[in-house]
Amino acid sequence: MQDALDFDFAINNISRNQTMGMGNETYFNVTIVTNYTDETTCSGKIQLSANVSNPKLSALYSWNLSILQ
Amino acid sequence: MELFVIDRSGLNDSFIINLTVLETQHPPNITNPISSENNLSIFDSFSFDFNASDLEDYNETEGLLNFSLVSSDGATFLIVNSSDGTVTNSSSLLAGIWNFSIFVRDSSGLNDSHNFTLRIYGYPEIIYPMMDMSSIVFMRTRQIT
Repeated sequence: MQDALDFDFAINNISRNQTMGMGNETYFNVTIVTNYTDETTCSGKIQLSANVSNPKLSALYSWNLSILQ
Repeated sequence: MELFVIDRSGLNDSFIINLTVLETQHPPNITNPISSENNLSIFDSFSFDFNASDLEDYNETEGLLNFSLVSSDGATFLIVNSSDGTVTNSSSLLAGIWNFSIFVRDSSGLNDSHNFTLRIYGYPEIIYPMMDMSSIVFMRTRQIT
């Protein structure tokens, strides 16, 4: 479709960035600011998820995430 | 048509005028065009009943109007009932932008048409990074002043 898609990035289900990106198979950059409480040095991996939506449907993607000091 | 005139004495005269009436056929008219852009998902079904009127053939209930549907993109999942103008999907909607034209033809061969587009959405897909990547590592940086 090459419409603008709505991306909602979350770490452990807490939304960190909502942005729009074109669904045209090109790369786009997302900035997610973490803080010290996000560090996983002791807690192990956490989950980075992206809920991507077009005007009708959405899909949820997730990755294991390590945040190291 | 005969023109007849008579005076007080009873004398009269007349002459005949021949009128040739040519019938002008009127084209049909689609009376409820669908909006030009329509958003759907691959899980939706589609149904729209086009109506048409015509001065000579009245409307589709008279059975004299003929509907047809053309997809400029080769879509085959929509069909039209040629007599009543109902357009429905005959199979699952396919993701993509599909352009259609609905035509109505009256018994004299005159047409009306209307163009419309279906934007059919599938699931959005993130193609990179892939979910089966082992993990993503963010390195926090700390600035000490």
